[in-house]
Amino acid sequence: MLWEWVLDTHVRIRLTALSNFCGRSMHFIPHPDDAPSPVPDRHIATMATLNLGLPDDLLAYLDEQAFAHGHDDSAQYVVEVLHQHRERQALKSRLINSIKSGPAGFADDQYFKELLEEAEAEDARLRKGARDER
Amino acid sequence: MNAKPIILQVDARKSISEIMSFYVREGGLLPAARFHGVLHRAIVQIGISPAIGSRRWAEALNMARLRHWRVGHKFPQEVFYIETEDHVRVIDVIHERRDMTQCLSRD
Repeated sequence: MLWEWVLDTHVRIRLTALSNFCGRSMHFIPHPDDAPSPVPDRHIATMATLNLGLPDDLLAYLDEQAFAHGHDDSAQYVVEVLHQHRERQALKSRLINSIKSGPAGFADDQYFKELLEEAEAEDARLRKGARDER
Repeated sequence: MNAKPIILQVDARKSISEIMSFYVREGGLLPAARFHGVLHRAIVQIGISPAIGSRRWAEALNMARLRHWRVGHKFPQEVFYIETEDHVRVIDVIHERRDMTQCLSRD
């Protein structure tokens, strides 16, 4: 595995970025005779390869961190860090959007009373719909 | 007991309504009413002692003063809020596993 790293002066990192996390994605390989589907199949993992030049100190740091986080392959660790970053940014932008949305009112007893009444009304509506179907 | 008043953001209110109607649709009135009671208790608790919430996400997201507090033992939602001088502002109520990353729980 390590020999993969020592290619030329630059270091080649293979990022096997799975576009989705479908469990059977790796096992599902369409037969060549199958007609190609008009829309790309979501179950086929699309992988891209990225060649990344890294200075020696960063490479050492990457290997060290990957080992510390329990990855045999440093490229896997890079993928994981990217995922984490994306998810954190998604959460942050959700919170920031909520802050921008402005105040709606106090969460007092009146609000909670109305909240329960809304739920009761929706429940009654759903029950009525189910009864009418029967 | 001088509890700080709680103000809900528009998005927080929307999230709470969505969660309530999800429970009504999936399990009827009982789980919705349970969630309602637990959320009410959590919000009152946050008003009484805002420092109760965890600051774990504040550092990770670089948002100072952000805190979060679990709605209840049996519900997976977390209340995200910010404490100010004279009130507490609830930013969002977020499902712990579906909406949030699990990366920090692994750290």
